[in-house]
This record gives sequence, structure tokens and C-alpha cells, in this order.
Amino acid sequence: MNRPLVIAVDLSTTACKAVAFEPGGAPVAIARVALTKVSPQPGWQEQDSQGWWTAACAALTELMARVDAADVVAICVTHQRETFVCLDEDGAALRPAILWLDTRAASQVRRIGSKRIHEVSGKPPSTTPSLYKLAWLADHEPDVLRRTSTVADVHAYLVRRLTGRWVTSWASADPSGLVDMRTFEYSPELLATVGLRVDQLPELVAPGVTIGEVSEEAALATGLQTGLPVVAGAGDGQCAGLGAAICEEGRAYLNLGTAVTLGCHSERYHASLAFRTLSSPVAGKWTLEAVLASGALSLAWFGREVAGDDSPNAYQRLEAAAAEIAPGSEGLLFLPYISGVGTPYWDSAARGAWVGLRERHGLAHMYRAVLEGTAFEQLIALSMIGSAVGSDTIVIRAMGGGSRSSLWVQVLADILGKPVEVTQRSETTALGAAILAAAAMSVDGEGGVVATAKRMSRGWRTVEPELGGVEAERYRRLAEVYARLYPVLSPIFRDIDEIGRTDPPATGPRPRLGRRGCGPGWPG
Amino acid sequence: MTASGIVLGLDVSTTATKAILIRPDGSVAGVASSEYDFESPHPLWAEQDPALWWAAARESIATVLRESGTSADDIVAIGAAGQMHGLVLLDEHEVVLRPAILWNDQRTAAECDWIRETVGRERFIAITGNEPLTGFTAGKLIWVREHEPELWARARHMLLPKDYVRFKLTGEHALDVADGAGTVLFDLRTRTWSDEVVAALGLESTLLPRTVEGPEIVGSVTEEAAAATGLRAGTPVVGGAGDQAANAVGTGAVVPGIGAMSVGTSGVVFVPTAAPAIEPDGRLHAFCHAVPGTWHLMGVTLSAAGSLKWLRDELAPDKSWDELTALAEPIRPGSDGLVFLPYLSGERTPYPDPLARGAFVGLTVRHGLGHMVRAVLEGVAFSLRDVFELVRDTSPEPLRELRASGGGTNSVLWKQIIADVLDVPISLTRTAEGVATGAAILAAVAAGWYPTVGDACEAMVELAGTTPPGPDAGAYEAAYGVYRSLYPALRESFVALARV
Repeated sequence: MNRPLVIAVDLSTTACKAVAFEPGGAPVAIARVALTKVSPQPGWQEQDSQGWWTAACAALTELMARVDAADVVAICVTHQRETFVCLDEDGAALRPAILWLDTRAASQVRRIGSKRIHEVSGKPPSTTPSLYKLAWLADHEPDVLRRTSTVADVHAYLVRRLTGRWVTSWASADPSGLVDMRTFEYSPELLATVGLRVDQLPELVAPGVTIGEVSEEAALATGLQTGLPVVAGAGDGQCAGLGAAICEEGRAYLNLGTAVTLGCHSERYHASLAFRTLSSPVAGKWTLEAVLASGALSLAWFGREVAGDDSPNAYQRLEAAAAEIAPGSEGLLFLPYISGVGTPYWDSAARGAWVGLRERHGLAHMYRAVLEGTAFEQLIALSMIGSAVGSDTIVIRAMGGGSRSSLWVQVLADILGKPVEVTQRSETTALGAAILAAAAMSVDGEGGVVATAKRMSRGWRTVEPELGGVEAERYRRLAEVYARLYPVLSPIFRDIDEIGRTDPPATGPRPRLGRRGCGPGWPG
Repeated sequence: MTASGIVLGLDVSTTATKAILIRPDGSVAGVASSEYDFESPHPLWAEQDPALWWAAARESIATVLRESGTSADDIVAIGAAGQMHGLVLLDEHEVVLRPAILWNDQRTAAECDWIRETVGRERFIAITGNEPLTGFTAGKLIWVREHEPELWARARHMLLPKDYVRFKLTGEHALDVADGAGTVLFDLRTRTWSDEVVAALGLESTLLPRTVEGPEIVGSVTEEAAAATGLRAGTPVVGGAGDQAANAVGTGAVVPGIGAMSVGTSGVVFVPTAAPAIEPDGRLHAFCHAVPGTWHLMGVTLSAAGSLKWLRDELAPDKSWDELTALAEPIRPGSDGLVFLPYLSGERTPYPDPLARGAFVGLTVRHGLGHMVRAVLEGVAFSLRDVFELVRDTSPEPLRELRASGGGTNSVLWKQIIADVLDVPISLTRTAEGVATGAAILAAVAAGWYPTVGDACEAMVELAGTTPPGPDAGAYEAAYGVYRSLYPALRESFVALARV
């Protein structure tokens, strides 16, 4: 008999991937089907949930054509988080799914968002958790909610299609903001804020337990074997962490994607504005995540809009030029808030900025400053998480597209002052789901998610911090200046936001220079 | 008397001496230029050998006469203008003692502190109209006294750069009131040396030349100078002016209500006033104008067209100026909330802060290069407006027009933005060499062509188009408010960055 395979389905915002893994954690086959999304109004981001299943079937069918179905011992789903769809009693969508990126619920956040909700759900108020978008539906499409039989996250939706059961992992559901993060059960209090009944939600189970089996109907549509065990998964962020074996305290994952996510494992529940608290794929534990919405997005924006170059080699050229610039970009800082800021300030009115420009600064400095800005953010995040948890992070593992940039990883190591590990292997997020499946089936001997993760997460190579005393000190001082930028600029961001909302500009007294002016300390 | 003949104007700048020949209607008969460098033997030092100016003056005068076919006999009067503040010291034999210390020399911080303490800062500003800044002449005199006592002991005459050239032409020691106020040893109200300040600083008044108004005749070309230049001996030479005042004359900014603005690498705003007006914190320069009975306020922003040049050089080197500004045209006033702080080289007005830096604040995924270009154009306009607000607070005379010059005025969009942000019409003139032309106009008055400087400008300065404030005037108020709050918010960050 061949070695046993597990299958991970990773349904992100942009694609559905099906990946078959062997027990050592190497992917043996990958299939990918693209997804589209629509923006019917500014800030709205929606997807057709039927398209999720269609894409999953296509990806699985393609994958199953390349592996022997008899070798596959289990399947597990990971997915874009917070995205949800309202389904009727037949499981048909009442309206398009609303995505995690959608920002329509800003006024609901302002009205309902509270410290209490944060404490219970682990989610600081923002437009990301499904809760506020459900509140938006209650305000704007109450009929939809009234007729909703099930509010399904992506995991719940796919599991239902695979097994016929309305069950989801609590590590898939908790991004909704409806789960009490201390107990991993739905919170009646949170449900009440949007007027949902618990029977309108899928049953919660721990990540890593076997939920059900692939039905005959699903087997026909996907090429999987009827009766194949379906194991409860987790959201893509948490799975990326598990795929990097970040399942003990002192370990963190750094997902260098469109958004940059820094996630630390925690054995205890903590809530803080410095991070979102999610369920770890290690059942009963937590993952603390700091999120920078414009991570690789900042780099892509720079290439396209500032350098005016979005050719395939653009990043290599920019990176080569930036690598020639001294660490610290000669005193130029970049605040990477071009789509607002999440942790720790939670300010959708925040914007990006370059501060410290002099004649000598050029394109390469400005690009390097973008890389360094994202790294200074991680330094702040690590420090805040460390304070909340009471311990330091020792091991950092980076994954995602950005981890292929050697300059970005080096800058991170240098600014964090810690070694950063990277892997040649791709599909770390899918691997996290595969680890849950393999552990559930006790593939290859030892059970337990943590042991399985350590066995299957391989090929990590360490990038050490490279800087000597003077340059490291320079970064330390720059980090202090960087940390004060948002506090001094936030009132200005508020003003800019105000102006944007009261177009055309108001008439009124012209702003005047005060008598005493605002110059620096005059001599004498 | 019908105006006839030619006047000669000289501009003794930091990098070249230019000679221009102008007819009574303002048309140019000829222009010539002779270049030189300045030295920086130590950090912060900037020096130039006065012999370079005289050699360049001789060469450019000879060249312009020859190339234009003008006879020296046709020249009815001569005026010289030039770089301000530079210190020239002569001994008892009228020989130059040491290289001139120039306007951009910054070595005199300690001496300026001493001057401030000795006279008292508020008292100093109240008398001279200005802070004792390192660029001005007063500190340089003290520096030589403290650091080169042997030279100081032999010093008998002080002159400024263009006065040295006039001295070589005429043998006379004199200083015009516009340039003179720039020594910051002047009593601004009396338009001559302040006995109180001169005495407080322990300076001998015999060191200081007599003061004259711009159009006043100082002397005439000597035989020796005539032989050296090809000029006619006996040609009258006037007081002239410092370069900023001369440029204002050259563009017709000679009465309150009509200001001059230069949008070059740096931006200069020059506003004539009918009475001496002093900004009590010294945030504006206050000097005499080259026009008798007139003074002026002046503010300098250090990075004007320099900011746009920086953007182009670094982010769009393959684009022409027109292509670059074309990117900004479709962007709305206010650049969708993107603001640029143009302090790429530190700043002078309204914040004298060499540590100040530039910034782009307000970037979103929707912003691109076009927004950045527009934000630069608007940011520089905002920094010019900062100066105007300060001028408006200091002197009540309303500004009804600005005569603009400098590279930045080539852009139609930028002129419109500036006109809209300042809410003042921007006019260009046909004057190509503003400083030398202004000096020539002062000479024209002395020659009797016109009774006053104002009349001379009416006749000799030709307008070349006016950009009035348009429908977008008033669209910038909110963005200007955001701009105003940026420097106070970021000032300490700039200090901290300097220490990294």
C-alpha cells in the first residue's frame, strides 16, 4: 500500500486550492481554481457562495485525477475568515456572501462596538468581524435575517456540502465575533446584539475532531471516496501558524501577504487592542494576531502607483536598489496605513505617510522605508503581545508570498533583532489543515496535533539579524520615532477624514498663523 | 527732457556677474555674463575673492558693449545690484584684507547669539527689523574681530559685494539702504546706521560707509575704471540695491499692493510697505526698499521649484516638466486628502528650522503619482501662503497683485494653484534678468528719464499675462488647515530623526 495522504482544501479570497500531503508534510499534488469577487458599491465586497462549492469541486476533481483515492485517509478545510453567507432551510443563499474585506458596517461598529463585546469575543471593534455586518443586515435587510435558517462561515458551508451536516470548527466560527472566546461556545449576549438565535448557527466542535463523512453526492461531485472522514479545520491565519508548527508559547508566525499577520500562540485567554484573539487550531488554546492591512499591499501599491512599474521584474529591481540603501533609509520613515490601521489603533481614518524627506532621498529610499515601516509595525506588535502575555517571542517563522523576498525577511530580522525562519515549501496554510487531518487519523504513529505539526512542518532555514552595533542602535532610535508617528498624526487623519466627508469644503474664517507662531524654541 | 541713451545694470550674484543694457522703453539692447565659483574651505563657510567680481564685471561690461555695438558714450547712468549681506573689508590703502564672507556662510552662530544677548533680542528686532541671523553681515563683522584680530586691527572700510564693484568703478565708499538694512546694523525707520546697535556691538562708525537711496548718484566712473572697462569716464553711478529689492524693481513691485514672488529653487515673497513694518518675532525680514520712502517685508521658503525638481529627478526622471504637471491636472484641489510638507532642505519662513524635513501625509491605495505631483504643487503654494499670512498680520496694506518670476512660473497649472491658494492675481513680466534690470531702472531715474522709480517701472516693465484666482479659489481652505497643522505635529519627530 502507498503512503497515506491527507487533503487540505484552502478556500481563500482569490482561489480555492486542493492540496494532497504525504505524512512528511510535503505536498504531492496541488490544484487551484480562481475565485472572483464583486464590489457593487464602494466598500462592499461580496462573493457568490455557490461559487465556493463549484470551485472546490473543480479543484478536488482535478486533484483526485492525480492521486489514488484509496490513499486518501481524511480531508480538512481551511478558509478566508469572517466571510459569511445567509442560507435558507434548503441551504440556498438568500443574498451574496459578505467578505471579511467588506467595510459597509462602519456605523454599526460605532454604534454597537464596545469593550464588553471585545472582552467576550476577543475581537476589537472593526468592520472585519461578521457580527457588525450582521448588524448591518438587521438594519438594512431585516427580511434576509428573518428568513435565514443558517449563517454559515466558509468552513460550515463546505462541510455541509461535503457531509450534509451543519457543523463547524469553533476555530472557523470565532472570527464571526459571536463566540465566547473563554468557553468556545456561542455567546447569548453577542447573539442578542444582532438578534440571532442559536439555531440559526451551525453546531460548534473543536478543531481537529472528525465531523462526519463525505456523502455519496459529494463524492460524485469531487472525486473523493464516499465515507472519507471530514476533520474540523480552522481559519487560514491560524492554519498558517499550525503549518509552521507555531503551537507553543514563545513561537510566532509572520504571514507576509497582502495583509501582514503576526500570530503568537497562547496557553491562556487574553484580550487587548494590540491583537485579535482567535481560537488556536490546537483545541482549547488561543492564537493572538496583530494585523497590518497593507502589508504586501503597500509594496504592490508602491510599484504600481509610485514607481509606475508593475511589470513582473519590478520588485526585483526595486529590491535591488533598496538593498543598496543603508538600514534606516537615511532617516526616512513610512507609515504603512494606506488602507487604515488595525492593531493596535483600530483607525479606519488613518492614512499612509512618508515622514523625514530630504533632497537626498529617492525612489530606493522610499521603497526601503516601506519595507522598514512594515517591520517597525511588527516590532510594536511583538512588544505589545509580549507585555500582554508576560513572555517574549523567541521563534518567528515567516510564510506567504512576501517570505520569498530576501530583503524583506532580512529587514524584519534586523529590525526585530531576532532570527526569522523561512521555508522553501509553499502551501503552509494548507499544511495546517493537513496537520489537523493527519493528527485526527493518527497517521504515522504518534497522535496529537502538536507532535504531528512538528513532524510535518519542515524545511525551515534561519535568517539571522545582520547588523552591527551602530546600525542596530540606529534602528532602535528610528523605532522610537516611528512609534510616535501615529499618535502625532492621528488628529490630522481625523481632519482629513472630516474634510473628505464634507465635500465641498465649508466656507468660514481662513486659518491664520497665530501671533506667537509655532516655530521651534527661539533663542533667548 | 526726452529719455534717450542707454542705462547699464549690473548683477553681482553668487555665481556670475551680469551686465544688461536697457533703453528708455525697457527693451534690452544687450546682455552678457561672466561666471565664477565660491569657496567652502571649511564646513559652513562660504567665501569669494572680491577680485572675481571686479574681473567678471569688467569682462561682462566689455562683452555687452562689444556684442551689442553700443558706444560707451551712449550710457547715461549705471546701477549695480547683487548678492546681499556679504562682508568685504578693506585696509587703509583700500586693499581687500581677506576673502568676502558670503550670505550663505553659516559660521557665525555663536557671534549671532552674542549679538542677541548684548543688544537684547526684542530690542534688536525693534530697531533693525530682524533677528541677527548667521547669513547677515553683523555677525560676520564680530567673527572677524574675534577670530582674526590682526586683520581686524587693519580694517578701515566695510562694503557689501555690489558696493565693492561700485567702489572699483567710482572710488567712492557707499551703501544703499536696501542692502544696508540687510547688514542688520540699520535703524529701519531712519534708513541709516543705528548708533545704538553699532555702539552696543563695539563697532567703529568710521568703518561704515555713508548710506544712500537706490536712485541717488554716488559718484562717477573714474579714468582708471574707464580704461579697465571701456566705459566713459564721468558716467554717473547710483546707489543701486540688494538683489531682492532690485528684482522687485525689475518686475515693477515698487508700491504697496504689488508684491514680487520668485518661485525658483527656493521661494521668495517680497511685499513693499509704505512704512517700516516689523514682525515682532523676526519671522519675516524687514528691510528698506530701493524705492525712497518705501520699505519691504520678505519671507523665504527654502524648497519651492526645488521640491518639484526633486520629485521629477527621483520619481519621474523620464518625464518632461509639462508631462509631470499634466499628471496633476485631473486631480482635484486638495489632492484627495494628500498633503506635502516641502521642507526638503529645512525651512526659514515661518519656521526657521534647519532640522525640518519634508513629508507626504494622507496616502491611500487610491493615491498615485499624479496625486503626489499635485500635492507638491499645492504644498509649495501653501508654504508661500504661510509667508503671506504672516505678511498680512504684520502689514495691513492689501496685496492686489503679485509679480512672479523663476522657473516655477513656467507651469500654467502651478500659477493657477498659487493664484487660487493666495487668492491674488499672479502676473508675469517680460523681464528676463530681474536684478540687473532693477539696477538699470534705478540708474534710469538718476539719469532723469523718469521722475520716480514708480514712473520708470510703468514705462520700462512690460506685463506678460495675468493669472487671476479662478473658481477653485476657496477650494483649498480645509487642505491648507491640514497643511498648517503638519509642522507642529511633526517638529519633534524631525529633531529626533536628526539625532538618529
